[in-house]
Amino acid sequence: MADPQAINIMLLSGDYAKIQAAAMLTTVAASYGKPVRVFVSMEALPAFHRDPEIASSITQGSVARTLVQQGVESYLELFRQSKELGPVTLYACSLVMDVYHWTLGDLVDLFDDTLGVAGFLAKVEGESTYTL
Amino acid sequence: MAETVKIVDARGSFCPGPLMELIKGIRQEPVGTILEIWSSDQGSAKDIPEWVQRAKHELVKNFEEDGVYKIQVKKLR
Repeated sequence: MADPQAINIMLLSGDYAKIQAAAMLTTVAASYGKPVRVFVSMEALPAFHRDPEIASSITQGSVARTLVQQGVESYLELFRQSKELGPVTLYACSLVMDVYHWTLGDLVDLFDDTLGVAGFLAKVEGESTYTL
Repeated sequence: MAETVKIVDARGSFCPGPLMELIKGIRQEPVGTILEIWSSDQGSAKDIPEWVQRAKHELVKNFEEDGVYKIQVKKLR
């Protein structure tokens, strides 16, 4: 059943700044007790790989580089905090997992499950959904 | 007797760091505690009161002192 409080984010971009923005939105929404689902797919998923070489393949614009240089908490730290604050669920896109032959063990310890587009659409039907 | 104010020093932390520090502080303290968050990030002076209202706590004070934004929040629940 659709939850009017819930927030859903489709995180598709491999741009550090967009991933950081998704993490910030998730963390603050979670602090209000809002359920948040984040479906991480396409170019965004490598940013969550345990191998730093793969994770650093994402792009950083000038704002993102400045955030990193100034030691602003990373998206990984923010997503970790968000899960302590409220009901936050992260899903890894099964398509990207399949094409790279990754398992959840290859990703950082933030994901609750893998999920396909049909599964995500079924979960979020009638709820607010944002795409980044 | 004046109420005790618990200081949360988040100077040097960037958005949403000061808010996160406040949330951590609020979770640790009993209802009725007043926390004063110190932030050098001017966005927090606007962002934190929004959060306080939404999270149903009480904004006690919001002022700037020597370039530091100080926001007092009373935990209500």
